[in-house]
Amino acid sequence: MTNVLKKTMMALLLPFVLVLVWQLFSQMGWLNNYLLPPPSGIIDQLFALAHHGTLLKHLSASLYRVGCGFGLAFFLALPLGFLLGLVPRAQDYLSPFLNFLQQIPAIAWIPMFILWLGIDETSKISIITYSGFFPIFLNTMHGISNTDSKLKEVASTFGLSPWQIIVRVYLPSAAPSVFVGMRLGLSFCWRSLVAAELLGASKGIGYLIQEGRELAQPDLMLAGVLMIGLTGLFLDFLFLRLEKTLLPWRDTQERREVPKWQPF
Amino acid sequence: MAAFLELKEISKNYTIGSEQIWALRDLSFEVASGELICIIGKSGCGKTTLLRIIAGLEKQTSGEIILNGQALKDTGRERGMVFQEPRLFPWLTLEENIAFGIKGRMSRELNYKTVADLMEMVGLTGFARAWPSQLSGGMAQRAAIARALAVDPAILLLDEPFSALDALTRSKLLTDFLHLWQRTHKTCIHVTHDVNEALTLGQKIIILPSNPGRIGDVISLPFPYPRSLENPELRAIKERVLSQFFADFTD
Repeated sequence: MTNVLKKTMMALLLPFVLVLVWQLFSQMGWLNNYLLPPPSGIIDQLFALAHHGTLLKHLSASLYRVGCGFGLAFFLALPLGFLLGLVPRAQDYLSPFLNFLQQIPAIAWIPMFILWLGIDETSKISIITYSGFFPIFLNTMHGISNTDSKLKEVASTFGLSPWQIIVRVYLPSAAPSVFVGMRLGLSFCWRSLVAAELLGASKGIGYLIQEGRELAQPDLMLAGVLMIGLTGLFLDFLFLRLEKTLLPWRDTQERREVPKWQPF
Repeated sequence: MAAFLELKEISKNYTIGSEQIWALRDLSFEVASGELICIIGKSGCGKTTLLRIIAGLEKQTSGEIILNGQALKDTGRERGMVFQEPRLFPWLTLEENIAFGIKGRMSRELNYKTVADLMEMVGLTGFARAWPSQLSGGMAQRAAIARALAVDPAILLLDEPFSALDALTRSKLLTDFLHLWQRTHKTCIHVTHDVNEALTLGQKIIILPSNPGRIGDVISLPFPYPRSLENPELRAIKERVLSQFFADFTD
């Protein structure tokens, strides 16, 4: 437990120092309070928003969209990833096309999605689904196709049927990779949310930032940015906990860090 | 005694470019029930290929393998395999790994008892809940042997199971394996490149020549266990095996 405490302290050190310096500089009058409002101003703004219930309204609208979009992406990407991982021949047909789609950032599709699906929730959720799909799909596919053939051999010496080998060797072997894909996918969904909400939304964190821009309120914009970061961090943390619970054996092995990068 | 396992003119060749490479050529031998046989040869002589063919992991180009009167094809539960590496499933605990082959095939109580007995037999009691990544190489290989034995195969195939271990662990595992075999009298084919290992274990040694066209020597070792390699007869046999190895070099 002390180890957890120590790690939390270490993680909080840098943000704490940054905020402290920022606040100090603001109070010394070295920073333009309009261009860069002090942390205390942003926190005041957040409290005010929370007090009125607007924060919860915007946050739940955003979480709902991400929940739907991510869920949809997951249920589309997982079976397809399994299938293509198991049938390498199918990869030859589908991979180039999917690779082409993968190059297109979600934001580029926004106008077309609005044209096709209207300005309502459907187009927003579709954008989010689109961005979450590829990391889940690709990681699942690689997880399945990278299943150690030595372990497959072991399973076949025990006379397991192909179906049993899929369930008892391929699936558990791919699980860590699927989790990497899910964490990345969720993070991608969360990022594209703001892009989707910047256009034609009436609520949501992205809308909040847009409102801050229209009202020329930098503290509101920064409050929105802060909320995005914190919520994303929290969701990622939840997934990490879920992974630890579901894949306890991973704890004893060396972990790969999830790369977080997307050209936006 | 009728042969338990019979290999009839097993050949295996690969085509590399336009050339045909023979890994095995017209190899025949018999194994009696309960016998512990060592197949010895230098690396690249096809001994692993031979074992994989018996296990059903590879197909012979020609020839037939008969176990208990039935021709073999594909893999099967009556042939247990222990590989050079432990090949444990990293997502299963030690006991789950050992139970891999019997899962869902017997009652929970019997399953539990089988696994507990095997863990006791290979000296892993107390490690039931350990993950494979927490085990030493020797422990992991013990677990692999237990896993293969769990399904009670008619024959156990061992592909240099001790070769990746350090000398001390290897000799300990060798002794323990011998005790295990003396208790179970499981028919075993043990492939190795280590002459001492073959002389310590084998009731019969089959020397696989590097040149697959030649027929290898079969040497019977009617000596009681545990054996001392200082025994003059065994030393003479060792000389004979080694001279065959060196004769290969001068070919």
